[in-house]
Amino acid sequence: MGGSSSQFTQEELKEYQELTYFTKKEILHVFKRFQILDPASVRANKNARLPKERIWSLPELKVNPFKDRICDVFSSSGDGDLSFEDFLDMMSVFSDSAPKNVKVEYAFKVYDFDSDGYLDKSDLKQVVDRLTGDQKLSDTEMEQLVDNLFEEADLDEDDQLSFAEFEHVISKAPDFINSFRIRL
Amino acid sequence: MSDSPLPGQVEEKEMQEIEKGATDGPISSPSQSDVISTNNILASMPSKTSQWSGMSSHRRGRSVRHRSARSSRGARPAVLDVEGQGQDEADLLAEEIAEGKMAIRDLAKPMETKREMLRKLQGKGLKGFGWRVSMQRRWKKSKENMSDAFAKLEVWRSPMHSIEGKFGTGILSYFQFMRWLLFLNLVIFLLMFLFILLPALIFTRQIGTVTSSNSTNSSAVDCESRYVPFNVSLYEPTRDHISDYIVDVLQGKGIMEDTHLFYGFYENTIQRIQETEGFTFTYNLPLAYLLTSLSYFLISLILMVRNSAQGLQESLVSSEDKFYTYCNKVFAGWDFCINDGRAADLKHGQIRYELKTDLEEQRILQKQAKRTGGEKCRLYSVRFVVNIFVLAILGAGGFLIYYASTFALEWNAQYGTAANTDAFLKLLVTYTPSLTITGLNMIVPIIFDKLVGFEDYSPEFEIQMTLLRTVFLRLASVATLLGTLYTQIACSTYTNGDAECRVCDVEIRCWETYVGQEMYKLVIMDFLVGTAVTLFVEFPRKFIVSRFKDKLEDVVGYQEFQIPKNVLDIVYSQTLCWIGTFFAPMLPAICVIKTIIFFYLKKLSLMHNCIPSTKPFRASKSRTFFMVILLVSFLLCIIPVGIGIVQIYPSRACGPFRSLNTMFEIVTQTIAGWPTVVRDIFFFLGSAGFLVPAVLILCLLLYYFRALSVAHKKMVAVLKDQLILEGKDKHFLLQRVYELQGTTDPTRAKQNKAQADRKAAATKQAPNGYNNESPPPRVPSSAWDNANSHPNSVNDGW
Repeated sequence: MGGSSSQFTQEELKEYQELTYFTKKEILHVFKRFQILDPASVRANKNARLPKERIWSLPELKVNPFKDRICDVFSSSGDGDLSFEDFLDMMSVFSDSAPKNVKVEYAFKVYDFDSDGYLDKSDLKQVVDRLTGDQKLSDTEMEQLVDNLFEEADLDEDDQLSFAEFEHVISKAPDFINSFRIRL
Repeated sequence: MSDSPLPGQVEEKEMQEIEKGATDGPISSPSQSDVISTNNILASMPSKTSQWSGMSSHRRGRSVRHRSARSSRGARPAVLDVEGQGQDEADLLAEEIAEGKMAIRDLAKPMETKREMLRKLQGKGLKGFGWRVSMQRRWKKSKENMSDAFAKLEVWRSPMHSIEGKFGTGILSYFQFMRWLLFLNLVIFLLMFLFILLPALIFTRQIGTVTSSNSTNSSAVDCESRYVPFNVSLYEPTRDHISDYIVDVLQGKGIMEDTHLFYGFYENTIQRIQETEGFTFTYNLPLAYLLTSLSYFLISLILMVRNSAQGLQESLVSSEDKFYTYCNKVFAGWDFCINDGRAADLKHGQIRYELKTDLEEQRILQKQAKRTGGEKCRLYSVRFVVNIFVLAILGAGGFLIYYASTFALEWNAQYGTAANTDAFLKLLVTYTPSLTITGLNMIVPIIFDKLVGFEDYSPEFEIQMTLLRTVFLRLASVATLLGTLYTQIACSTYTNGDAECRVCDVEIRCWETYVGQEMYKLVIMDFLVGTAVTLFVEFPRKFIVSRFKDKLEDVVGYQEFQIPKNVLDIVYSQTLCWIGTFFAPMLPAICVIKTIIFFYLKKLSLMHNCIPSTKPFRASKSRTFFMVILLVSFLLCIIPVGIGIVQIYPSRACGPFRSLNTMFEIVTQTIAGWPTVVRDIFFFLGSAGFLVPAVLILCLLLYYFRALSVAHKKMVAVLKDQLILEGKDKHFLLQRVYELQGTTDPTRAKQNKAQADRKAAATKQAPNGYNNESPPPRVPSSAWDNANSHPNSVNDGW
């Protein structure tokens, strides 16, 4: 740990502590995980921006059906590539101590494939498709499911979910806080 | 209500803002004539035409205070104005952060933005950070440090991680439950160790014994001499060592009986700790024994309630709205912790399976609604018969246990003392009750599993039903055993010559130790069977199945890790531990060791032998479920121990309460020895004069919280209605805007709608906001925080 702690000044660490949900030790641990993804370029420049393909080699993301969306959402350059700070941001949001409302905001962004501020029918279909993996639901099943989803969540009956509606429905989804998290 | 605006007025203002925005903004409308129609529009808005009213004033009042700083800055037409929004938003957020209402890290912004904001705040010389805020920060920081320190203490962190990665949070919750029980048992053990065992070992100078006020001392001495737990001179010559010692250890008899493990070994003495200047510090061992036992029950209860409160809240919230299941499955479906390819495939499969079955179930339900009278009649009669059958099985199981335990006792009385009896046979007979219970626990659940198939319940209910029946079986078997023991212990006619010692059966001269031995045997049995099943059934099964993959896989298949069954197993062993600890104070130590071994064994078996269950078990649901089962069995444990303490005569021959009429007498005796004032206070606390008002107050409180929860539920409904209405308003208004604009550009329309949507949410938050600043995206979320915290706060009351 001594090697990586010299990468950051005390002020930097303090600032990161203020800006994330991590303790100093955890921040250094995140850095270690980041470093493993591409040791050479991170050693050369700790603020290196790693291409998303590199980021996807993180075990939790490798098998995650939403990995491209996650990277897009957290990338400050907007192209899915992550710098260490973006990565830290991501791990912070997925950490145990991040509050639900922060997680919900990011979850909404992740599920909003066309980034139009609404989850519409095509967004939902994509979410379900990615969840079920290779074998997809049949068209009638998908229709039934999407109808059910809208019936549950779409309060104003405009056939799309706004953020408020999404947040409302997540508040009633007890599994969300357990599942939307990545262990350090 | 008077100081806050009426809903109607709010809409009016909102309306005006939007109108204004429409005039000044980028999509400015062609003429002023629209303003004239404002009133008409207002009148025809959906929320005007509907009848709802009655937003709570305090909710609004609170949000007004929150936003008052904003509103004072004056109106600026910015509803549809995108530029200039960032600056205001940043200022606004900076203000909130400075006030300590939220942390910078709570912003859903990239690191760069957050840092800028932090710098800006620090640049202001932290003038916003008042004393209160800095104290809050320091408190938060120290809390973080504390939790950091605790995280280091977290045991089994890495095994947990690998389980989670491979099997998901559902199965993880089982192991977390196990770890929690380990800590519980550790706490109980420490209690018993510190307050009972240690004093008994250290303070050896006796200064007196506890005796009942109305009993003669001589009979007690007499009884003690008749009870010979372990007689070396009788014991040594008749037995060859090793096998006998093993039998003794397994039975808790012989050399084991005369140890600190069992109740009977402890003395009824008041021990002197130190004598200084004429004042003696004493340690009353019987009192300590009773109080420690009561406190371990109390601590268990507190820990359980603490642990289940959180889970219960969540499950209550979710059970309130059964119709949110699909959203839960889709939006919270993926377990982001999964880091293993195979597990990910399984998770995909699970989600697919679950969604498909749910959709299927929905269709079946629709079909069921159309069931004919004849079909219903047939189904109900089938269910009735099955339930009768289940009851019969439970009854038969109970009788079997009763028969086994009386048989063991009778056989022991007849042959047990004979020297030529085979040691193994003897062991087998003494273990009959435990064997019967364990056997029943293994076989009967399988029958229940098959039976429930006939009843045609929905899959979820089917699992719950089987579990409920199995729980009953487990509890019933323990209850029957205890009942049988009770008939042997508490009798009206004592055996000849032992009347003054109150001995019902010559074999049981020290009944507390006897009960302790039974519990000890069950614990050992449970441990042995659990280990044996894992080692000799699960591992070979995996080996065979993977060996003959093509032929056997369809027939036998890989084993599934069934959480409900496994949970029942550990709850059962915890039940034994709770009951047993009173009669065998060192039993928790055995339980701790057992839990540790089981943890590794289960983990090993899980990692090597099992595949995740195809029927998924959700983490949120399981935690509450575990705790409910644990609570039920806990309540069952209290009853026998309570009866033992209050009702049954303690044995005359052994234990700390040997000369008292009931164990509880020690408490009344101690209180009687206190100064009059304190004694009077205690007696007053126990009198009707205190209890009746206390109960009344409790009832009132209960009623108050109930009323509160009902009110909250109503509020939730009202808020939901409001959201719907605002959505409709928005539609209506947008329609008007399009009409006036004469535009049909869909992308534009969507953009407008998004902004109007945010506006609507913001207005809800700041009802009298004349400001026209565009709200930050955070606003809707905080608005809903308020609304959603309500169901939770309801449950806090419970």
